[in-house]
Amino acid sequence: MTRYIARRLVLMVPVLLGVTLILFVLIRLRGDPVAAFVTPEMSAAEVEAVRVAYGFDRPLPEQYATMMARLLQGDFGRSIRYRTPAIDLILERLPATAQLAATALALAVLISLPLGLLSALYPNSLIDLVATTLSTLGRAMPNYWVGIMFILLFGVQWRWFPVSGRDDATSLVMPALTLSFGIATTLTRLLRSSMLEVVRMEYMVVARAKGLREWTVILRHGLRNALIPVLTVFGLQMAWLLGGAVIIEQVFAWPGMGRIMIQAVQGKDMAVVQAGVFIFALIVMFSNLAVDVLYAFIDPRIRYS
Amino acid sequence: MRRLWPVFIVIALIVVACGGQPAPQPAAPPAASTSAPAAKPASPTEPPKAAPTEAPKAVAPAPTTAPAAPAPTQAAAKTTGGKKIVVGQAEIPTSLDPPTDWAIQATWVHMNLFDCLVWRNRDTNEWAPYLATSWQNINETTWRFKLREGVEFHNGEKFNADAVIWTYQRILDDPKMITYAQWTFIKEMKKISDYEVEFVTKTPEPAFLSKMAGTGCGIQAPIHGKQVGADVSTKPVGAGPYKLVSYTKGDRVILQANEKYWAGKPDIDTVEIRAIPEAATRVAALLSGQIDLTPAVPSQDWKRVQDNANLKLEKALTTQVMILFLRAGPSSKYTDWKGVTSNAKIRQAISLAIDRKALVDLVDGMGVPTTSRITPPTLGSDPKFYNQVGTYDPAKARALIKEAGYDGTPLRMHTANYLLKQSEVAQALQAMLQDVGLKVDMNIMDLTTFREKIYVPYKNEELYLETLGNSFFDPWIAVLSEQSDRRERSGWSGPQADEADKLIRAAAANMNPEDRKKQYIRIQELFNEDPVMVPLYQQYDMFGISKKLQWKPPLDGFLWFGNAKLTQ
Repeated sequence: MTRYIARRLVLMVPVLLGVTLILFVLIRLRGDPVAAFVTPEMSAAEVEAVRVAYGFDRPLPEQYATMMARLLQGDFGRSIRYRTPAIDLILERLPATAQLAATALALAVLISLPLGLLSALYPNSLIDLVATTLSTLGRAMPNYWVGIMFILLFGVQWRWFPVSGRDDATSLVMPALTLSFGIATTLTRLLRSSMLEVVRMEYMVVARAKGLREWTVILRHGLRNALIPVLTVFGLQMAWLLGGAVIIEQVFAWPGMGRIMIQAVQGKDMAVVQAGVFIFALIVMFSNLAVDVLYAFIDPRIRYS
Repeated sequence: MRRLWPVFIVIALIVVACGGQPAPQPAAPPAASTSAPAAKPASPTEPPKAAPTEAPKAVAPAPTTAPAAPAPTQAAAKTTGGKKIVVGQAEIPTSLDPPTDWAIQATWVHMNLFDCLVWRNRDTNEWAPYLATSWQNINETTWRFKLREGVEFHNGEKFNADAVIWTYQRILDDPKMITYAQWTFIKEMKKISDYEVEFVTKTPEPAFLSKMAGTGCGIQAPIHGKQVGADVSTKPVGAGPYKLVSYTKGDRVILQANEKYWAGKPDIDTVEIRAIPEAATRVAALLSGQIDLTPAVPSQDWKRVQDNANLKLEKALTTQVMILFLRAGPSSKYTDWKGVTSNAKIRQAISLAIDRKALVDLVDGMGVPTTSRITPPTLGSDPKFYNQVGTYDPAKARALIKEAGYDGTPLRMHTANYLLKQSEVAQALQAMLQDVGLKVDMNIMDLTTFREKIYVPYKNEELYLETLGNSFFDPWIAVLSEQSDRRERSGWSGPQADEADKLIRAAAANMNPEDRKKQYIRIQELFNEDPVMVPLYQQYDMFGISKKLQWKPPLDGFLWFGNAKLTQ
């Protein structure tokens, strides 16, 4: 297992290199990096002076080489808007995004686990109807729209929760719930179908025949097997979750990485975009690794060497 | 299944560990010294108008170190009581060091922290003394300021001539400062005495006072500034009506009233400015009572705000004018440009085909029709251009198009879509031009794409729609784009262009206001005779304000709270 993890960690290096290259090209394709500095009254010569001052006049390969040389020393460059190290800006925001994402994940599991399980155990019942309706609706509604609806209902109409910012626990409720909505519906649907298959398996009959209590049969024999495909999707959802967080943070003015990434993209603050995507890529890669390792815990037949 | 519990425990731990208040950055130090009370005008709510009453002169030798900053927790504790307002803006400054962030919403925050030598009176918009008490134009290129005595920065440092010179020299020494080009009109600064400074400009500067109140004008505490260096972007020390309590980048700035403000302590003790990027969320925050003030309330939300018993709407003019720009010819950045608007008759026809009244109706009355970019109270603004719908004559436009021998080649038009009903206005313009027989290919883009593909590389085609402001309130900047060496976007040439060029250069250095005004009026006439820009309307902004807050949007639209009041 240790060797497997070590190998996976080494493989991350070329992936990250690829990420930096793709990112570098994509950012340059988006247009002129000095756009953020130009005012209507600036002459062409003044614009050119800004370009030279920031090294944007150098050939692209040279700019990439300079960037990589710095990256290897852990230097992501300085934000042109904030005039501070880009990585510091991202890391300052990481706790807010981690808090939002982790709460959303926890909520998604707390919603989807009982809902998926019960709708599979009682197919065509009322709870199944509620679960399937909710999961269909959840997939159909974009999360920023759900967010705005939550704001109108819980924030403006009933005033249960603050509509923006990150002050206390109450301000976490709406953004986390919105972000969890999409994931919860996906997981519910998946758990339902996975569980429906598992309950028909012979080992379930054997477990019952052994005289085990029904809930022991369902949780230890049924759910555990049903969780394998769910876990795969759960891992994949990490990327979706981070993407969703970018939008949700914007809607709820949540001061996380997503907010600063949007500002950086709009303001052509390339160092911040690079640092942010780099950290996002790391998070996704580590969460995928964690899911692969978790398989071994859930299913003893899966062993890595 | 049992083995999965650690995963959930880890998630729970992250939630707990990341919870709570975001850590504010350490704040700038509140004033420590109690010596030398500041001069105060009669009423703290009045904007400063005249020289102060006698203020004790600073007698202590200049300190060499800035007073120490108290712990942020102390500062934060002070903000819990008293009158407090929360303001929602689309964004907050990326830096609290004024010359390094020129975004308009950043400047609003800076002006609460820093005072400049002169600034506009909040009610009349006339030039008023702030940290200077008077000024004198000694000759065409020399200006002498008498400085306000007895003023302290937020950390207790004394305000004097050294602070003024250090503040501006710092910008002039660093071309990377975003406002650098804006300050290069200064040739040198001389300290005459501790409370007198002389500025020498490179050329005669009729817009001198306007430029001295431009972005980055806030005077900073020099000893503190030298000590913290670039960190001044998070630890600003000025002499403005408010001092910093905490600054969380991209999230919020918390300000506390400066008890020693020279014009009197502001009525509101704490001002919290939050970044809420989405307009819908800002309005929701206003409706739910989470914030007390927000600019740019969208028209679809006006009724909801108005129907709320605790809120009011306040309509205020901005300096922004929506303009349809035309390209008249190629330029050095677009040498091979060819287009139908190179024909002056077509450009005149476009100008005649536009119904400004219909456009103002389209934006729900949120505009004043104008045929000039120079709007009141800026010098050169004239009733014959301002609040005028101009000549709308589609028949004459059709005749001109026929005379020009228009062959049906489509005009390419670009616009971003970020302002109030900007895409609707663009489509209406397209319809008006098509009505007189011109074909228009419209391309509506997001702002970033528009700036990067069209605006910044000077690749605008026949038409583009853009809004431009002028918070300098001086006409020089409103016509600068048509100076002969800056016509990258218009490619303008011909007799009117030549005359305009001469006038633009002459007016920029003309120290006689009456004569200068005539020059700008003539320039506007030339712009209208051979159009390269068709100004449409000056835009209004709509503020949503808590009824408890007594604050009126000033002419420049700055959210400055030195004179605001709050009823509990």
